[in-house]
Amino acid sequence: MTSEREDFYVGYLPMPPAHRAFLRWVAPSILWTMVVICGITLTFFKPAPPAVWSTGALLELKGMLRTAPYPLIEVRTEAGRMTTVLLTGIGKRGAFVPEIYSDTYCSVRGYPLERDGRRILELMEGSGAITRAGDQSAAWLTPEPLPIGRAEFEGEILDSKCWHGAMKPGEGRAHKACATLCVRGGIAPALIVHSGSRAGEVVILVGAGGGRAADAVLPYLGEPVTVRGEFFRQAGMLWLRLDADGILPRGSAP
Amino acid sequence: MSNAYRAVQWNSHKRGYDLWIAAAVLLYLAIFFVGGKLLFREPGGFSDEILLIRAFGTCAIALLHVVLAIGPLARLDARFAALLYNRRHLGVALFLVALLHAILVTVFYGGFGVQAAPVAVISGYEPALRAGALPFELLGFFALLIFFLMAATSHDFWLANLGAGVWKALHMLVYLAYGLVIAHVALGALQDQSSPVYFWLLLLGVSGLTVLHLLAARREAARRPARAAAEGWLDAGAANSLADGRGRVVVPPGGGERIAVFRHGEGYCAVSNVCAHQAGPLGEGRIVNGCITCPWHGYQYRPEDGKSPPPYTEKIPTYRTRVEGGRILVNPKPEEV
Ligand code: FES
Repeated sequence: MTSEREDFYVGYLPMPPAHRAFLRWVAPSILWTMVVICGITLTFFKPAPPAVWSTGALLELKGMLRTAPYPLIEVRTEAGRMTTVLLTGIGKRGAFVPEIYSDTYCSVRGYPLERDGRRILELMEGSGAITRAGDQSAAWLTPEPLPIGRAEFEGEILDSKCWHGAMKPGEGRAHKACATLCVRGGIAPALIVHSGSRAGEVVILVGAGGGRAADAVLPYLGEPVTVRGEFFRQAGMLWLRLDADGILPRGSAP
Repeated sequence: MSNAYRAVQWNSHKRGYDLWIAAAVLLYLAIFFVGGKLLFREPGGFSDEILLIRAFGTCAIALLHVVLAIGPLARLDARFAALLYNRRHLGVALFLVALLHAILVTVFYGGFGVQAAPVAVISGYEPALRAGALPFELLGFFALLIFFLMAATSHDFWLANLGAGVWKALHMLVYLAYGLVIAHVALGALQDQSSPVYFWLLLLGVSGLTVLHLLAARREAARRPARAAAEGWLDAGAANSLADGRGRVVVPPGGGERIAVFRHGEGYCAVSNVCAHQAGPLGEGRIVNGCITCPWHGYQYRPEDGKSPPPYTEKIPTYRTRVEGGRILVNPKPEEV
């Protein structure tokens, strides 16, 4: 007796024609709506940063190796300019540089991460990552810190590795947990300045005592903040020595 | 033990339904990933993992809206019944997609570090909490937990063993989960985007669902209480306006359980309006093959005694009826068993 249920749907019986016709356009409509939402979502994404992580291209740099406040190497360019390249370990870890190499002239090998003309180096694994490169340490002129003055910046604090292209995007609220892990692992925290004349600059943060700033920055990673401290340049890189309580959260995103 | 879980037995509708779900999810993920790769090329491209995290996350939100829209839509237009019949499968799909989103987040954002990934993700909140920031990831985690509970208890085995009340309450948590998901997105991913489109999309979703639920509720509220007749009986409307095999919902004026009155051939019968399965509105059902049949998942009850035909053992209350002056009258006191 189908007549009594010609417009009544029961899952375990044949579908009434009216329902079948209805589903023929409802199901595809839901599908197409999802496709349209997918398209809109994609189209309006804030583009990922133009950063490149050359995981296949081993790069060798020669220069003065430092372990404090963060592992880094000072390199003189061919034009004679002094630059600083931060070093990181594999994954979300700071570079492991044995103390015996500290303040010595070395060659380091690893994979570069580059963004906006700035570069950091992920040291390769194994014993070939750091080697002594002759004794030029005595002849190396240690660049003095160049004070710029007291400064206050608005921006976001994150780990320098992800910002340089380890994650794309490697900034913002969604990336916060990752930045926390990176900074806990010993990767140098950086302030990305969002406004003012220094907008777009990358400033490496050190604690009030000149050491690592991990403890001070951890609560504020990935959030809009105002940061105060002593601003200086050293070996071609911008640094900020944080005031005690020098980081303040800002109410809303920039 | 009753055979009470028959509604999840397989049939061709369910297979077709599941194929549609799988096709929709896969199509969405594929378009998202491939489109994302084509639209944002190196060096300005997204990490594959982040693209996938976003694909699964947005897909879960889209599915959640579909899941929540089906209920009110089926109240407004009976032809949505086919979507309602298998809604639980859609719920399970939603949970799986959301779970993959969470796994990717945990592995990618929490992995490769000095702590185990789950530990890193959980302990990562602690410094931010100290600074007073709300960890949006936790909101997503709680929503996922609710989706898990719902998916895990979606089988009728749980309905039978938890009892309809507990089961229903558990599954009403989906609205809490919805709120958590919206907050999770608004406080998280939305903060990283500069286009207002995402805000408007989210608002469209929230307001669309709100309107559908309000329309369905208004329709429910529009049912007038029945007029009282002599001796405490209720007037269930004109007898000749009820077609054979059809039902009518009678609302007792003083509150209490609604009653479904049916015409069966030349006679009339009345049972509780509340289906023993998931409290579907029996009065909106039909008499199919001699049994009152629920519009939601097709549970059946004999008009004469409210019992499901063997081998099933459900039983719903029945009420006495009579016809007087062309009106159907029903006694709101359930018949003694
Ligand atoms: S058959 Fe599921 S609610 Fe009636």
